[in-house]
Amino acid sequence: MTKKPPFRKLRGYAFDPSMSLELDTAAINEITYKVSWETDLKPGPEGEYIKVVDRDPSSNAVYKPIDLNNQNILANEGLDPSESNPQFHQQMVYAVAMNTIKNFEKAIGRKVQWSPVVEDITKYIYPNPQKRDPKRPVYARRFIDKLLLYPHAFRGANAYYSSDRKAILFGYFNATPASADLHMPGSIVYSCLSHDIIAHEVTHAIIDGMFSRFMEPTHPDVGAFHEALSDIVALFQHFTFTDVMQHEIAKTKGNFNAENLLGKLAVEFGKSSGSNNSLRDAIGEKDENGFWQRFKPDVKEYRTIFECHDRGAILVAAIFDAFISIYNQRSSEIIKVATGGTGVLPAGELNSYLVNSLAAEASKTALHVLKMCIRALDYCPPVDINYGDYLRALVTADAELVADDKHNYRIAFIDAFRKRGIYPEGITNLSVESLIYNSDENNEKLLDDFADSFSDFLKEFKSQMSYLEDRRLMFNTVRKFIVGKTGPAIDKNEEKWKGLHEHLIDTIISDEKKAQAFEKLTGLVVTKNYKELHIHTSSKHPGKPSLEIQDIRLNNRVSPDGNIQNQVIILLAQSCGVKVNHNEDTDEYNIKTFEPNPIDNFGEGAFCSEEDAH
Amino acid sequence: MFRGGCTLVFDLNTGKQDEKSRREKTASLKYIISKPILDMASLNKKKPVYKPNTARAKMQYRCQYGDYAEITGIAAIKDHVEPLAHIHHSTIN
Repeated sequence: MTKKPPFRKLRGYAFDPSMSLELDTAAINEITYKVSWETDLKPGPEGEYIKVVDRDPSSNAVYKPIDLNNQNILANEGLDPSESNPQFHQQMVYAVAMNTIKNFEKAIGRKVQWSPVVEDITKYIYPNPQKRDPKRPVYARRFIDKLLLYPHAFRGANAYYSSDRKAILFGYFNATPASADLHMPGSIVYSCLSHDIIAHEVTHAIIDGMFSRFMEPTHPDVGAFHEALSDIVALFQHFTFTDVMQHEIAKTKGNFNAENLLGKLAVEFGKSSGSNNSLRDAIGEKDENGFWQRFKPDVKEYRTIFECHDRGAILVAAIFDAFISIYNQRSSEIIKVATGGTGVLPAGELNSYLVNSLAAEASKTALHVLKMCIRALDYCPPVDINYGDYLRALVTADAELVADDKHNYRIAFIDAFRKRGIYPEGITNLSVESLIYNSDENNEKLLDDFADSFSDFLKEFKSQMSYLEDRRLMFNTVRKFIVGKTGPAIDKNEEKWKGLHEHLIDTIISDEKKAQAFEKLTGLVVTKNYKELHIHTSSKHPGKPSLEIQDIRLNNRVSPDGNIQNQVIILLAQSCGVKVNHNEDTDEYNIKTFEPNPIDNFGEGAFCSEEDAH
Repeated sequence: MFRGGCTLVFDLNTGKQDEKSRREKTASLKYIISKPILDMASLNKKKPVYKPNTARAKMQYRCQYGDYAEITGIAAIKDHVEPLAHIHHSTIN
């Protein structure tokens, strides 16, 4: 029997079409993406994760979907890169989106899931209107199998991810460059042909699938974090393109503090929409005289910049600085060997052996940094994230997987954040030990007690999730473990297990002492005092507080030294109604709790599993 | 709505032994990453007081209705002018 190919090779742009028109970059801009092979890929392309829908409402056009299984297209590794062929646009968004998904899955050790649709299913659960309680609507989360990608969604110089539509909409526009030598005025620019824009928007969708509450504006860092991580993923994916890496290493002589393409986001988009440069640059920018200058960290920026993309750039710059520090340290040995120990590179071009060695080192370091940034997401709070939380998540996630930080990755991150005045709350110093969550061993006995309470549940969860490959089945199994409903996949254990809500109530909430201890550890209210904060009462468990279980995740990762990491991660959230009165004269805030609107509260008891919606 | 939350990270390769059964424990609760809905200082008093986390509630108010609402683009999001997750901040053409 013939083996299934591991990859589908698809040609595309490493950056965007404008780079193919510049002498310096034309040779490196066309690359071949190696996309995981999907046997059942339909025309569109439409695969397991995404569906490309090519309708253009502005020109009332519907473009024929590309069939990537067509033998000519397969043999040619996809269509030729072309600005004028809509089928190539479809191929490009598919290739980059799948590449981004693959990078996430490698880092988090499980399959990517899109943010589910939350639906009011009260009328299905209670067909008789008289039995419905308007204060207790019933919601269900519906599985979303495919993210929709619209390559020609609107006329406009933008692109965005819509959480409501579970779609990414790419705009196109006529170029209006600041100067005619930057880009052809009036020519059409397609955002769907920019690697960076596609990767950025897909990352937004992936983060929304992991943390739906990160779309809520609760802190200036929340939206900025969404933007920053989306930029980080787009930029660090540049480092996986071998030819591009070697070209930039040769050009800068391995010095990433010099102007280079790798730190620039969406060059064509920036130049064609009125800027002199890329849309954003992580490392530096041109001054008023047109000379590129390296950014210098400025602690004032974090205190004064609030627009989410600009604030996001502060975090991107910190991560890039950390990367450059690590790369400089790792590459110094190679340079010493190549220069007979002096460490001083000779004038003129580098030899190809040195270029290739430095490119390989930079690529390896960048991939490591990218994985660290993605893995840290599993150590973030489920609501209201700020940059300090993210630094702690980065350090904790890395320490958990890599015990010996011999290349000082963690120190490089701490240093880059410190230089920008980004400090986590609630710690007394910036040592690695302090930044790692729960390094306080005084709580060990208490934590062990809680773990024992959950041990059977977690064991069962692991055993049922470990071998699941189907994303829908994974989603439904998680939902069932949350609400305790049984279904076809777990019938055999129907008598043995309960949903997590019930587990929490039986093992913690019903035991006053344990409940009090849980409150002190989590800051959530699980004792009878919940009424003082007007937190809803659980509809399933009268007298108990409402608690939202956002997700349960199983992680399987292998560390660089070969250790296998098995973790279960549970995300809990809780809501209460708060009324804030701000006295502008005295700048005082008066905060009171009040009975919240049940419609806003997707709390425990309000959810049932997907099957109940039918 | 004012929200709190926490992430619980359980390690399934504990390496710890149960004192009674002498078998390896199934799980250990390794990390609790919390955004308290409660004011923790008041909760940790000798006689605990249950009140919302004032600092976070105030910041949320400032982002949604106060001085940060305009500059973070959040006021605009509410009017469906500038959805979050756009590639850049601009007015819609």
